[in-house]
Amino acid sequence: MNPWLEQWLPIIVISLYLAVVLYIGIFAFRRKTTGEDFFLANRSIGSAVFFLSLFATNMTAFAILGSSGLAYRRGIGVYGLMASSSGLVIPLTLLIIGTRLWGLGKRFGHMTQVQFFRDRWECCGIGTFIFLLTAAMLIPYLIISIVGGGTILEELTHHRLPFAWGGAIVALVVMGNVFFGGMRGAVWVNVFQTLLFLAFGTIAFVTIAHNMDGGLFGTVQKMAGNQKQVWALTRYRIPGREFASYLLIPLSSIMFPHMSIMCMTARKVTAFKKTVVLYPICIMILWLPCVFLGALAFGQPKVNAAIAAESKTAKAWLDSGGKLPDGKPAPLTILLKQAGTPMATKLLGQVASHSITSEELGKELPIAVGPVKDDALKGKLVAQVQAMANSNTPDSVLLQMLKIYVPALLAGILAAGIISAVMGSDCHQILALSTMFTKDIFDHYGGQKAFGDRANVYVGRAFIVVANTIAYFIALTRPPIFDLAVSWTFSGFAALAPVMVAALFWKRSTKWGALAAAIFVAFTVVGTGYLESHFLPMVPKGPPPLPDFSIWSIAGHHVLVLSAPAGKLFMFGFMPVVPMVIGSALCMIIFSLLTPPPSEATIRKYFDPGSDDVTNGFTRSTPRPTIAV
Amino acid sequence: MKWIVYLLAVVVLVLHQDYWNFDKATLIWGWLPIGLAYHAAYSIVCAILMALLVATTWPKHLEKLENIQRPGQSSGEGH
Repeated sequence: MNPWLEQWLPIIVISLYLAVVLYIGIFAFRRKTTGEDFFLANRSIGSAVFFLSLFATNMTAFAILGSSGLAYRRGIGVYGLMASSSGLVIPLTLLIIGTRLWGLGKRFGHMTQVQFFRDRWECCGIGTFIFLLTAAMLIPYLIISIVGGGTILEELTHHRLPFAWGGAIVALVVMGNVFFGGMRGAVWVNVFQTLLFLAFGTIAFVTIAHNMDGGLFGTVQKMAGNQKQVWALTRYRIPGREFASYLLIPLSSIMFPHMSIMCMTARKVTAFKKTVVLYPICIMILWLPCVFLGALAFGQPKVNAAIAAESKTAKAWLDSGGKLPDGKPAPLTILLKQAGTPMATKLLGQVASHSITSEELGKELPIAVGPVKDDALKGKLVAQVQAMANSNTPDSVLLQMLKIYVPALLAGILAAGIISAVMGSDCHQILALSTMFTKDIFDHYGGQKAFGDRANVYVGRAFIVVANTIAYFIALTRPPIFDLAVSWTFSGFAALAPVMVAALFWKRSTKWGALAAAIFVAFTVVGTGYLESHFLPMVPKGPPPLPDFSIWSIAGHHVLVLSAPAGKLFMFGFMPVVPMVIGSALCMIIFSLLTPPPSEATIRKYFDPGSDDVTNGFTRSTPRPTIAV
Repeated sequence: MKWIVYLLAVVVLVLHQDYWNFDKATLIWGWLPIGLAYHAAYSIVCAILMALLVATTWPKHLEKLENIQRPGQSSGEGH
């Protein structure tokens, strides 16, 4: 293919995709919209669109890029760790909690979790506290999405489009879509995204599997026969207690505000039936190729070299001209000198004269190492490259495979699909924050009464512009802290699930129980963050296996440790989510039993079976036709 | 029937912890690692379990709410 076309084709495809997303938002624009229409698409989403959109809301960049990156480091066990656990827990929560949330929205007009909590437990300030907690846990996501989108655009354009511009484009397109289209725009984008990704993702998987060195069959066979690579085909790098802990993480899904708000958009509760049954299958279709390719990437020299070249170690090696800080040659320099292939000699010359970029290094390393005949030396070189790759956070492994093994046009479409995954969730998150602010703060504290329903929409739109602009400027600094924050928030939202379960199913639960659980969650999320960031510099670094860093032990038994080299906190070998969910549930139970329950009228309103009948000003209308997409 | 499905759900939950595949690299059909094959099959079992749960524990009482419209709610078109 023409080199110019090869370079620019992915960018043209992505630009077209972004234009379509923006157009969808403008197409979904309604001039005379109400609050319910803007924030919830008038609770009129049909079952097929509801299913595709709900699935896409969970199909984040984390699911696509993060899963393959994690599989690259920890093997195929990542599928069981994250995907099959989600395939069980998420549909269960949709069936048990999602359907009830839908019912509450229909009966009482609730749009957010906090509106429900305030009414259910007759409280005001406690609702505001829960609003602040959930908003604080959602905001890092918004920033991460912009950072992710900007990075992908920068990567795919070979750094021709700077990160700041890429991030700005993503932020503006998301803002435009949600500003004009509201929930309707976000839902349509998600449907578009899911169909695009499922269709072209399958084609890309087949193409990568076919084009990778040795093909899929050859790569798997080669790795299975190699003692240093066979772990990637097992669960060996995932300890049992960590694997068990992950079963609780998907509880977070329904507690993410954008997910619970999404549950209230369905026109009929029967829309959940299809979603609940098909969800595990869709999770499998999406995650299985991502995880499998990520694990197999470890057996691909070209991918290893590309990821290694992006690592800090490689960049330091290039910056120092191949030397250590004390002026002596670095281990890789020594090994390449010993290799003595023409390409290795040329490469060392380029490194010494600082005339090679990290991207070029990624391409040239396999060519330099490939022809080495001495097996022992070649093994050392491969191990050195893999150690450098392991020191990196290889979330780009899938993008690297796309660049190396897939034709430019398909790579562009798939990259557009990956960006769409970032943006689809981003649309829902920003809209959820806007809905929460408008309903839980502006509306609750008298805004709607004073200014009318249309003011809700204006405030919602203004919030979208302001929040997105602030998020963009924070994202420009690429703050690494938010990467960590996102991992804590999964546990945080999972630990809020007992609050929702108590509100829906336990008459005796009280606002004080909810407050105690919310304070406990806030405390443990901040505590986990503090421990991980404070002790991270003391965690051993290097190629695995490494000893964990013990923070606290009693009589020789480790209570709190940080895993090496990732620096993740574990308590008795379990992830923080386990004590967090148990602690939150205990707080809810104990403080509810110690405090007086809500009034009889409120309990009757939510638990009297007769109250499911149409009451309190509800009117029956003839069923509206659903236009299936 | 409902209780059998609940019991089945507990069994499926326990079966997620396939510790016996922890360090096995056996290949199914010569290319699919057993750990991945097991959890792919597990996902299909989850879908069957969900179908059974929907059939037996569906909150039918909520369907009564499908045709109601609150005052102030506009009758927008479906999607």
